[in-house]
Order: sequence, then C-alpha cells, then structure tokens
Amino acid sequence: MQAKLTINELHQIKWLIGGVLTLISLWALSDLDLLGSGLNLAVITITGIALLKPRWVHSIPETFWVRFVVPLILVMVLLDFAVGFTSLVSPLMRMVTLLILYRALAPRNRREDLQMLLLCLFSIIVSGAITVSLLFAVQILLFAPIAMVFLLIVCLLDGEPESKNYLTKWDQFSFKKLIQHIWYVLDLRAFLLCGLLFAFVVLLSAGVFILIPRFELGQTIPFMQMETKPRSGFSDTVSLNSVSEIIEDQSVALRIDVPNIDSVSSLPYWRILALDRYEDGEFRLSKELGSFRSRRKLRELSGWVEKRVPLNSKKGEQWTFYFEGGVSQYLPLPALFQTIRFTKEYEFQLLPDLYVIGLDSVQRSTFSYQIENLAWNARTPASSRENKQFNCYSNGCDHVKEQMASYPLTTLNLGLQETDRLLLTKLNAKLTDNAAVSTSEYSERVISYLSNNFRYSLEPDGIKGAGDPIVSWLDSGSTGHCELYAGAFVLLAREAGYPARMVVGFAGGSWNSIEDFFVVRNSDAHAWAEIYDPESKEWLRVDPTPGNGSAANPSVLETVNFEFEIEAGMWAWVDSLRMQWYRRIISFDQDDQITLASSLVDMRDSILDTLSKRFEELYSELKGRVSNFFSYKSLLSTVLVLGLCFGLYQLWRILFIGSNLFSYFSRKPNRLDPVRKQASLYMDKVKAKMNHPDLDELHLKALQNLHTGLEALRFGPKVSYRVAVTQFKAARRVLRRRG
Amino acid sequence: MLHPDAELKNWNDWTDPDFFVTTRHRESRVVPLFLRQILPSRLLRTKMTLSGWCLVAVSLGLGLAAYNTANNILFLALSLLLSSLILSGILSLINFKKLGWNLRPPEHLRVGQIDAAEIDLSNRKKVFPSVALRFLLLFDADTKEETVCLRNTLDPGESCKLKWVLNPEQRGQFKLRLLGIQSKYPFGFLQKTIKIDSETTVFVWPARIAYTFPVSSGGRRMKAGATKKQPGQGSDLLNIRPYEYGDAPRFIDWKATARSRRLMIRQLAQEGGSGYHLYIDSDETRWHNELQFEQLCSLVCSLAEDLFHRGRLESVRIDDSIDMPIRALHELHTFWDHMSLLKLRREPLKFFPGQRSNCLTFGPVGEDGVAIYLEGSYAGQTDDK
Repeated sequence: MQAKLTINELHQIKWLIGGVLTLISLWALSDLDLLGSGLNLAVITITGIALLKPRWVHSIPETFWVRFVVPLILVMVLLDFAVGFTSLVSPLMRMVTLLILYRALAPRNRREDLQMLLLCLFSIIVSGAITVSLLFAVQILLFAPIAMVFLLIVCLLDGEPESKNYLTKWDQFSFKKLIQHIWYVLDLRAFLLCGLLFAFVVLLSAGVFILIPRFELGQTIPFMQMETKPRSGFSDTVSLNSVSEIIEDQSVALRIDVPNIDSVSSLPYWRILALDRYEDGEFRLSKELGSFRSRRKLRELSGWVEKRVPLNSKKGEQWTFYFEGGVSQYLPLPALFQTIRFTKEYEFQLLPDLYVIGLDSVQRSTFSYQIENLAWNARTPASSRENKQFNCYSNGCDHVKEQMASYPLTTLNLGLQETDRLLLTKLNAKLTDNAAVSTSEYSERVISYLSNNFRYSLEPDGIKGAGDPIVSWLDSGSTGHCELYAGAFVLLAREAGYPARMVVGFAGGSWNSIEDFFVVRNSDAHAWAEIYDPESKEWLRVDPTPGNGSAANPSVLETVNFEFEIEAGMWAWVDSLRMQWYRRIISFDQDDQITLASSLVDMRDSILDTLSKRFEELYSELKGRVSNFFSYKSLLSTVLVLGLCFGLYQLWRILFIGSNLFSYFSRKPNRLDPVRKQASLYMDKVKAKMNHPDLDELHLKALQNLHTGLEALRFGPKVSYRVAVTQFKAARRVLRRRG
Repeated sequence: MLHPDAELKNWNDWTDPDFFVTTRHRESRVVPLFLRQILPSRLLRTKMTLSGWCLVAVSLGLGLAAYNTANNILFLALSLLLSSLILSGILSLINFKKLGWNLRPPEHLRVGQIDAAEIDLSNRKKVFPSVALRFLLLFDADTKEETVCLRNTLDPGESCKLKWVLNPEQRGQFKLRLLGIQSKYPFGFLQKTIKIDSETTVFVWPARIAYTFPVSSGGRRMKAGATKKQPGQGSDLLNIRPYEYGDAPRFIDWKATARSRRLMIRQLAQEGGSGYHLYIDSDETRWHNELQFEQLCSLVCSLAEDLFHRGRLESVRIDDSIDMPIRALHELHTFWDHMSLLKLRREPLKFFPGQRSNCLTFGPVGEDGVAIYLEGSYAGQTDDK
C-alpha cells in the first residue's frame, strides 16, 4: 500500500491552494483597475504573505475576524455603494475583492471553501467578460485545474468525520517538509492521468464552445460594461502635447485583419476625431447637436449619405478592426468606406460632417467592427451643408455672421488675440505675397515654410510665450511635434481665409508577419490637418509634420508609397496569439458555426468523391482485366493473386485446426472446475448432515441456507475462487457443529 | 454494480425473466440507455449536492448572460463548467467500476462488548483509483444508518479492509445490512449512490454480568482420580482427533501433528468433580419483568462460560428441549446462539425434565435479580448493580 497524505497535510494543501486561487482571481481583478495600482499591489502582497507565512495568519484569533473585520467590510461596502451608486459594477467588484481577501485570510470550513471558489470564479469570469483580454484564457487555464484539485481535496476531506470543525495544525509546518512528502507520495502515473484528464476537459470545452447553439437575443447586461477614461489626445478637447504623450506608449491600440498585405498600398491615416474649434490654446469639438451630431442605434451603417466610396474602390474587401479599450470613444476609421458592421446593435454618436463615429462611452474592453470596401483618398468630399455655408461666407451673406459659432464656420474661427492674429497675418503675407493662391498651392507653401524653419522633436521650444502657444511657437520656436505643426497649419490657413480643421488619430503602423495582420500602436498616434478646397468642394488631408511624405503636394499624397515595419520575434508572436484570440474566440459566432459545418460537409463530400473515384478506377481496372483475361500477363497475375489467397486461406486453416487439435489433446476430460468440485464435496457433506435425526430447527435452517449457496456454486454461473471462498468457510463452520 | 454474491443469491429463481437466458441481456439501445440516465433505476441514485446546485445555478446564470450579451468569454466559461460536469460524471462512473466488496460479520458479538464487522474492498481497475467511498450500513439492533468511509484512495489492483464498529445493546438475531455505496467523487457536485442491500445474519449473545457463585468449588464431587468416559480436562487420554475450531491450543499433540501433518488434539477424559447441568426455565409467570429475564440470560451465559473454562459444564437444557452436552467451544457458542433468541415462554411445558444431580436452576430474587439454585438450594445470585 502506498503512503498517503495525512488529514492535516490535506488541510494544509487545501489552504495553500485556496491562496493560489485567490492570487489568480486578484490578478484578474487587477486588470479592471478598480482599486488603483497601489491598493491592488497591497491586496496581492497581503495574500502572498498569507500564502508564504500561513502560521502568521492562523495565529490571529477567530474573534478578530468575526468582531472586527466583518463589520469593517460591511461598512466599507455600504459606503462604497452609497458613494458610487451611479455605477454598479465598480463597487460590486470592489466588494468581491474584499470578500475574496477576507475568505483567503479568515479560517475556512467546507462551506467557506466553496464560497471562496465561487467568488474567485465570478471575479475571473466578470473580469474576462469586461476586458475580453487574452489574459482571461491564461487565468482560466491556470484556475481550472487548481480549482479541480481544490474541489477534490474538499471532497476527500468531506468523508472524514472529524474534518467538520478541524483546526489545521501549523506548528510544525514547513514548505520543504510538505513538498518533500508530496513528492514522496506523488504517483507519477496519477499525475500524468490528471494531466490527461485536464487535456480532455480542455478539448471537451473547445468542442462544447464550438457546438453550443447560438442565437442572439440582442440584449445587453448593463453591469457587464465598464467605462473608462479616454486617452487625453483622443477626447473632445485636445490640449497641446496630449497626442505627443501617447506617442511614448508602445502598446497596441488597433489590430486590423486586412484582406492581404497589398491592400495597404499607401501610408494609412486612421481618423479618430476632427476638431473644428480653437480656444485658449486647445482644439475642441463643437457641442452642437442636430444634424451635426446625432445619436443612433446601429448594427450596420452603409457609408456616409453624401460621401460614397468611389466605384473603383469597391473590391469587396473586408477589413476587421479590433480596437483596444481605454483609447477613445471614437472609432479609428478611414475617411471613406462603403459599409461598417458591428457585432450587435450599439448606440453611436454620428458626426457625418467630420466622418466620425463614436461610441456612447469609452469601452474598457476591445471593440471590434468590420468595414467593407474602404478608400485611401487624401481628398474627401464636403457635405452640402458645408459647401453652402462656405459659399455663403465667401459671398459675404449677412446671416452667416450669426452662425460663426457653429460648424462649419467654426473652422474659420481663429479664437486668438489681436496681437497673435497680426503675427499670423504678417506670416501669411510673407508666404503668399498678398496674392490669391489655390488651396493646394497655399498648403504646399505652408508645409514648405514649416519644414524649412522647424525641426521635429517631442520636446518643443518656444511655446511658453505670453500669447497663444502655437503662435508663440511659430514666432520663436525651432522644434516641435505633430500637434504644433498641424495646429500652426490650421491657424495660418484660417487666418488666410481657408476653412481648416485639426484631425487626430493614427498614421502608419506595422505588419505582424506571424499571423499576417496590421498593427497600430499608440506610438503611431498623430495629428494632421484638413483644409477645405472651394474649387473641388473637398477636404484635403494635409500632414505638415516632416517625415510623413507631406513635402509633396497634398493632392497627390495618396500615391506616396508606404513601407511597413515588419514585426517578428517573441512579442510579435504574443501579439499574434492575441489576434488569434480575437479572430477565433471573441469573434466566433453563428456564421462561423455555419462555415465550420459547411467546411465539414465539404470535407465529407471531398472524401466521398475521392473514394468514389478510387472505386471507379478499381472498377475500370477490373473491367480491363476481365476483358483481357486471356492475355498471358493478366492470366499470370490473376493466377498469382488467386494462389496467394489460397495460400493464406490454407495457412489460416492450418492454424485453426492446429489450435483445435492442441486444445483437444491438452484437455482433461474429467477435470471439473475446482470451485464446482469443492462445492460438490461440501454439498454431499451438508446433505448427509441434514439427514441427521437430532437436528434442531435452527441448525437445519442454517444447513438449508448453506445447501442453497453451495448449489449456486455447483450449478450456477461460474465464479472466481475469491467469491466462493466465503461460502466454503461458512460450510466448514456449519459442518463442524455437532448434534 | 452488483455484488458477485447477489448474482448467486437468486440463481435458481425461475421467476426472474432472465432465468432461461444463458447470457445476461445488456441494454445497448440508445433511447432506453438515455432514459435510464434521466430516470435511474432503484439501485442507482444520483443526487445533486449543494456545490452541484451552485454549479447548475452558475451555469444557468452564465448561459443567460452569454445568450443575452453574445459574449464569447461567457460561452467559453460556460463550456468549461459543462465540461467539468461531464468529467465529474465520467470519473464518478469509473469510481464504482470493477469494485468488489464483501461484508464479513464479526466472529462473536456480545451485548456491551465492542466488536467490528469488516468490509473487504478491492479495486480491480487497471488505471483509475477508487476514491472517497462511503458504505451505507444498517445494523438491525440499532436501526440507525451508519457510514463507513474509505479514508484514503484505493489504488488500482489493491484491496483493503474497512472496519465497522458495532456495540450492540440487546441480544438477539440481527441482520447486518450493506445498503449501498455512496461517493461524491471527484468534485462533490453529485452524490452517487449504488444500492446493494446485501445482508448477513449475526447472533448477539447476552451480556456478561457479575454474579456470586463458587464455580470451581461448588457442587458434588467424585472421588479423586476417578475418571469418566467422556471428554474433559483430566489426565487420562481418551482419544487423539483432528483439530476443530474452538479447541484450546494447549491440547494440541505436537508429535501426532508432526506424524500426520495436520493439527491433532489430545482428548482427555473427564475427571475430578462432576460438572454442572444448567436448566433454564423461561416460564413467563416465573419472571417478574423483561429486565429480570435479560438478567437471567446474561447470568446463564456468564455462568456457562466460566463453568466451561473450568471444565465443569456438562450440559444445558432450555425448558423442555433435549439436553445439549457442552464439550467444545463451538457447542457453547451454539448454546449462546439459542440464548440470544430465548424469549419468555407462554405455553406450558410438554413434559417436565427429571431432576439431575449438580443441576443448577435459576429463580427470581428481589426486583430484578436472579438467584442460582443448586439442586433446589440457594447457591448464588447476580450482583446488585
């Protein structure tokens, strides 16, 4: 018999496994960032210490937990709910964190163990559902086997009568001793078996996940969505330097499943937001509602009403975007597209004049959407409202002055002090020689001026003057970043009478060569400008920042070739795993199920086709042989095949007959099964004893019972000696009795 | 799974529909097998535990949330929970497979004395251990269901014995019943019970009590050196016979054993004093109450035991039955079996047994005491409690 773990050791292991489960769930909860990084770290540290030094935790008297900690948690939870009543999920998850911590530290019995397990499971699932992160897969794959072992230990201890209120002894505890004993007791075969069983569970889960019927109810559970704050550069108000701050972040902001690598032919500009208003050194988005900004519930949007994709761009290509949470509530989009689809119906903010689609709030989780047919134009058509207003403005209509505070005339509004304006006027005069120039020409001159007089740097100078920072930079700066370049272009253009707006988003990206998808990082954050061309009635994309191909004429910018940075190596592999996760798991839906089923049907059909072809070939071959049966070659091969078959048959026959003969000669005709033989002997003795005249009733009954049992052994189904031996023992016992 | 003995038990029951079938019919149709899972037979019960209900509730909640939100994370978690449930069912099924057990009653069971029945348990599986098994047992005398747990895992190919401690409080013939085997293995979601209902009968002998009676010295004595031609514990050799269960080891004749290569016993002639004959009268009118009658049974058994060990017990007789000579231990045990079943007699005796020398009879004394009479004269009694 193999050595086993003691009850106390099982209790110790159960406690330690509980600690590990708590750590995993706290790790999952830390992804939600509910407590702040400092408190998160503190909670994980406390649990870690409790795990490493269990004796310390168990030296705390139980009354401390009941009389002090429980009321404290209750008060904290009530206060938290009272203060943060507007959002349910944050206080709820904070409560769960506190309860998990309490259950991890306080003494536990079976009921508390199960409570802890449920809390941990709940926290991991909710965290995974909110963040939709690949970490969920890692956490659940770690959690599941450990939880199974935990439940197994709870089940083993449940059978122990003394384990109900068992107090685990930690006096002599040491990790070394426990691990040594576990190693001594551990059966490698059992360990492998557990591994195989877990692999079976994972495979089974995959099967269930694929096969589980899916029908969408189109509902949302409000508490399953958590809001967060956007990046400062991608909100309604963008202050100076906020986009540049994002550039320092190397994390992935957007993954795009592109049809093929050739689809990205030029430098891609992913517009997040266009900002029309400039005030106090900040670019803002106008607050006005109506046709400018509307809210709609959408599942699909077929392009912008007035801005269809040109027919030559309609290649039937599907682009799937996975936009990371916590970046912006506005979606990174190309200016023009044919159709955009979402996984379900969401409420969106639509700003058609700006080509902007925004969610209701900033999501914490990854948001995916699909675009069919997009265009990489540097020129995008202006709306009829814009054209009308700009036309009116240039013709000097009276009512236009009243609408200067609303879009699109805000794109002409400078929002500067007179001294700053004078400085811009002076600069414009220098650039245009006070002559009327076309929009393209003007843009080219400004870009040329900026690139000749300023250098790119993330640490700009000359912005801390007395007046407006951008004007100040134009006046006295020498280095600047994209926001200053774009901001300077916008202000100069507006001063010169060209409607212009600032656009923030991403420019460029890299190519993941492992999984073949396009990656846009936060470091690709960028700001550029759009200027209205009254001749073509279009908005021209102008990127005045040096190094982005902007030195060329903006009208031909779209033809500039773009070379990807190809990502490979370990981090690219990890990133490709994330992409797989989004592609295969997160985006898996009923259509995928149908595709999978149809591919299986196709596979079956192809196998059947192959088989039928093979049979046809065989048939034709056989037919050929039969028709040419009397040819020498055919006859010879037929005779050979028949001879081989006959030989095999004879061999089988010899073996069969031989085995029969062997068993015939080796049999012992008189030999009876030893159990039946023994039973027969005892039956005779019992029968003889039953005929004894002085037998009392009790004894006779015992003999009758015995006889029935022996009869069963003698004539009943064949049983092993191990089963029969008890009956034989009883027979001997009864037969020994006298009288 | 049925115990192998269960198949033997009803082997000749021709009312069994499968009696004339040479091989037992195994259900292989899908629908009946499926229905059997939903509506398990009387012999197989699966009950949801608290954690099982929790799992179901969590799965339902997850399923609802998953279908409402179309969130694949929730579908993934749901799949994992359902897979765990399936694994739990499979492991639970395997846990009972190829498991053999046999309930062995204790050799002797006496009121007030603790003894244990044994369950021989063997795991004939090749790969999987059997874990967390609980045997549901019932002792008729207690009428309270008890459980005996397998404390450790039973590795494949191994066997073990589980003790079922019995402390009977009343004499009689009782049944030790193995009602079923239960297990919550592996995760405690389901409690699976296999009903067995195998039983074995045991006699609970009357309790041993204290009494006053000169066992060694009392009664009439024969002349010193005189022997009788009946087996006893004297010095004259009567016979050499094969060993029988219950024989004292000191009577083993080692030379004869070596010669015949089997244990042989020296049978000596009875000598010295005459043995006692015990006569038990269970007449209802004689004994005041049940307690006093129980005292009688206990006294008779205790006295018989002491007399037997001193070689002074000749025979016993209960009411109008024939004399039971007590020459070996198994005869004494048979007498105790009778005593364990003895009840107050309502009917009159068919015939009155004649008076014998050295005959010990019993009569009531006090509220619930029992007196011992030697040839009608008071000779001792049970001690007061």
